Amino acid sequence: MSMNEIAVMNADGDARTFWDSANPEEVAVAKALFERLRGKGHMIYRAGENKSVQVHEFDPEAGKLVAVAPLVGG
Amino acid sequence: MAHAGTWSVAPSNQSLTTESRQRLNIEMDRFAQFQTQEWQGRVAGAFGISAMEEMARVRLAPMSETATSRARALLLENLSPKQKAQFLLKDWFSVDGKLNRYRIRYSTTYNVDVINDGGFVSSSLCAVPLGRVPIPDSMLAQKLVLENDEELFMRVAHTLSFSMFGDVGQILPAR
Repeated sequence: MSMNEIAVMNADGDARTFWDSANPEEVAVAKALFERLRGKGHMIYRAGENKSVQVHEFDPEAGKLVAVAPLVGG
Repeated sequence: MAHAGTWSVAPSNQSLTTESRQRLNIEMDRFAQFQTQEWQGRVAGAFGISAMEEMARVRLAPMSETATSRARALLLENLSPKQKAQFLLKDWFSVDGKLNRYRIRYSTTYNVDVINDGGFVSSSLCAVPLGRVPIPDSMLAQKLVLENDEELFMRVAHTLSFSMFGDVGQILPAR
């Protein structure tokens, strides 16, 4: 069992969704969010203090994730 | 539509020449953190009220303090200890990519500097997440993409060659 989260950047700073890997309902919600974001072109990273890693598949034990909208030239 | 080397401040303001638009963008970038009345008056006088309104609408419409605070917290959670120390002290942090070394500054546009082996800025890049997010979110997005897919960042970003502004001195120690 572990607590996990995904932070999605937005105009309010971010919106965070938390899930317990031992709770199937929460995992299902998190997985649906992950896949919806990926479908919209977001890039998802496992970050923290260590070097970040892009993740392409949902992992119920993902830890802390950050979702970034597609980049555009400014 | 923005093009490499051309800053896209006021696309609907056709009265601005390319040179004026570049100057306006430079002013905007330089003072984005200091939206003082003095600066607003200076820019309005130089470029006209319509340019100011366009600039405010497109770039400088303030985010709420809460949003910026949340984004800053998220950024700090995801910086390495070295990057965190740099950011807290200087409002920028460095990223070592496979192709280049970068400095990501707290600013709205062209805030990613490419640092050459001598520690000088060789160019500045602009690529931001789609949609409107606070500056710290944008900085985190830039860091994450540069660390994981530098080529994608370079492909998407608009580039401003630093040579057009002259030498501003060495800003980071050479490798």
